[in-house]
Amino acid sequence: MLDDETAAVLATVDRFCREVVEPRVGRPEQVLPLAELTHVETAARDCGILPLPEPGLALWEGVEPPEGLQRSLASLVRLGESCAGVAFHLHQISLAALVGRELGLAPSVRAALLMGRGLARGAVVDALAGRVPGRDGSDLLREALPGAGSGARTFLLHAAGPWETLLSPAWDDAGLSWRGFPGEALPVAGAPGQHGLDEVPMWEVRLPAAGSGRELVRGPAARRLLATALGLSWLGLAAIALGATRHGLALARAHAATRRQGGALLGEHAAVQELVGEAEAAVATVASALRGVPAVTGAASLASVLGVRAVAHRLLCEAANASLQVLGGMGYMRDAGAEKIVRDANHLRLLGGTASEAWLFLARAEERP
Amino acid sequence: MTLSGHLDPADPLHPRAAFARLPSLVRPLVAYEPEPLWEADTRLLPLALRRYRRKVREFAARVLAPRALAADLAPHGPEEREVLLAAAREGYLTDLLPVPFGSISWSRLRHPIALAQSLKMEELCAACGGLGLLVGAHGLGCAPLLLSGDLGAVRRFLLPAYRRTRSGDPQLFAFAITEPGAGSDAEESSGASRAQPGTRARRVEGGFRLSGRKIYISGGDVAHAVTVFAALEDEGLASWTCFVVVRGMPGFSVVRRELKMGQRASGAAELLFEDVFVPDSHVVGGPRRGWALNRATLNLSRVPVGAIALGIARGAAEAAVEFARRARLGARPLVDYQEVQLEIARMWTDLAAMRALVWQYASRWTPRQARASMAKVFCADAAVRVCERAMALMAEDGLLQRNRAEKAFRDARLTQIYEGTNQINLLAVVEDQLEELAPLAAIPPAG
Repeated sequence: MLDDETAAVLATVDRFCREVVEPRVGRPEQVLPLAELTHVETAARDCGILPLPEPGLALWEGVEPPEGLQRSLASLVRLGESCAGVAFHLHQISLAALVGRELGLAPSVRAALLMGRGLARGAVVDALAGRVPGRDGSDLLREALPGAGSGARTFLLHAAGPWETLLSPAWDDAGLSWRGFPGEALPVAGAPGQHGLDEVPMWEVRLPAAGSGRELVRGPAARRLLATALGLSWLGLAAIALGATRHGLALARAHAATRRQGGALLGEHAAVQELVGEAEAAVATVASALRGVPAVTGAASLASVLGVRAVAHRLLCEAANASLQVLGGMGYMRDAGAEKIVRDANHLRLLGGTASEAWLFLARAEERP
Repeated sequence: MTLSGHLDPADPLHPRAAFARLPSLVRPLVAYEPEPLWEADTRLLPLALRRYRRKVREFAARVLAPRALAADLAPHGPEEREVLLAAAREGYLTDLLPVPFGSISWSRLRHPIALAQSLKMEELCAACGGLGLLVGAHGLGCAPLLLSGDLGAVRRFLLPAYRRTRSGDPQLFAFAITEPGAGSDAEESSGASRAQPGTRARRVEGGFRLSGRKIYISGGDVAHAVTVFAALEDEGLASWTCFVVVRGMPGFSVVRRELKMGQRASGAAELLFEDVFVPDSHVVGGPRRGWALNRATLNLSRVPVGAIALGIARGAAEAAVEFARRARLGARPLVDYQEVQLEIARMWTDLAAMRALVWQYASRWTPRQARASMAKVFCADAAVRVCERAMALMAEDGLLQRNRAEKAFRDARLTQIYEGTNQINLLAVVEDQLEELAPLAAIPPAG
């Protein structure tokens, strides 16, 4: 049962999807122009889906109580159903705003968030717990967390539109910190030919060597913030993938209900029912798992969140593939939309750490509570 | 040289070093020199096919690989024409007939054509699934002519096309069976028995008039001629007849080129037939032979489709291995980590299983439906799995097209769909083995 606040927010998100997003993404073979995405972003801010200077019920605002977290997750599922790229864009803006606020940035500053390159083979567990990892672990953390490191390094960043400040966690001999980099000082190059999330271009950002950028926070506060940012980021990606996969399943069901093969409707064949059933089971399992996440409260809750994410993405990618298969040759064509959902689900799976890294992280989290 | 967690090959405890110390009498039975898996597999082949595999691999690396990313980002550019011209020069578009008519050497002709085609498709598609299909789909278009046993049709259509191709003017054929609203019916007998054919041939003086549409025709956009299957007026798919329709015939047009997820260098075209007059001389093998020619063509081509999947997956695995050897994580190369080594070993294991199946089932002159479909299904599914692993091994770098694994994933996904979806192919396995599945007790009548 939804509380009144959540129901009102979800009604707003639903209307926003129907009236603003879906009319613009009806041709999946055409990439949404940046100007249109900017318009969508402005409309999202106007109706309170994106954060305003004053606290409200926007994405990732008020997520400490479970109902607040579930409100954002349900919103992202609905947005992902309309368009995973748009949902991802709004998710990123909101998460960057949350981190920026925690780091004391003025609400007017447009920040981009660079969380790093994976999970440092699970060594992020140590960083979050305030432990000093071994030499290997330190090397891995320096490389994985963008804001530090022994030399200039290149990271991949998704960003549509300009940003003024890049916020990122950093690891050095003194532990974990957060740093801010002025946008105009960073060399950025386009990375053409990205797998999915066509609406949000990928860039290669070259970060300078250690010690550059401005340190914004260090110590326990930095660790708490990284845990929150990682947890919400992971959950957001899984929620968006769930929404996108639901859309793929709807396409498959519609196709199976209208197209005929062998003198019968496609949906009457067991071979097709298997595919639809597999996708349904995956969607239901992930939806249930996301509803079961109570809160993201620091490092302690991260292991369960990561476990949900790692399993969710595998299931959702399989479900998106099964849905495409129902459409047969048509599903492979870009104008049908199903192939984009497969790419988007795959893309979301690989962001912010792979399943293999998740297993290492979880094994270490269990080893060293 | 070694990796973390493994002994140096010179260490006395390393198996190969230990084998080398065994008595010379038994050493040939257990000892061997290290060599790349590709080389070891190649040496399993007969000499003529060994040479052929090396030759195609060199061609793919020289001609296809440098053009693969550009042809994927901007399909239908100059790259495709360049590849076709080079393939024509090297004989890869005329390799269904022996010299002097085609380009198969007599030493290679001792082995089934499907095996050589499978070797070729693996190598081409390891470099690029789309450009590989561009070259390979032509063979599919030619197959009904050869399988018809209609020497007149071969003489009238195939030999002149081969001659012009060998002289540097590629004359491609495309195979056209799929129709709007009836994709799988063309590939499955039970469905075909109930299907309403969309493309029809009406008998007229001196020939037939063809009307209808064919969709998703690989290479249909660049083909000089199409082997089209149409039902005779007022009849079902059992009346399917194969016609050669040549570009430029009045009423025949390419009306659409699809935007595909992958294999983009090869066009998927929609062909429109508006009362196209096709003379009797363009009927392949005689009226009502089309269904048999269609199914025989699919049986011949499905193992090579498995090889396409194998090639694409190998390309992804090679890209991932190269990445793992080049990239560093912390102070060590990526390949030094055990979880990365495990992923590489899993990919190699899948590739080995795919290749074993393809080579075994392509090693017979008469392709069997069940085997052809099993090879296609297994390889297509395994290829997607390998590509997913390759992308995951590269993590976020796997999302970039230039690292090749994401392109391979998109390319591989099509192999689960074309030449009959994997579901249709599984039913084809059952159809071919019905006798083995006969119920042990009589089935009561329905109702």
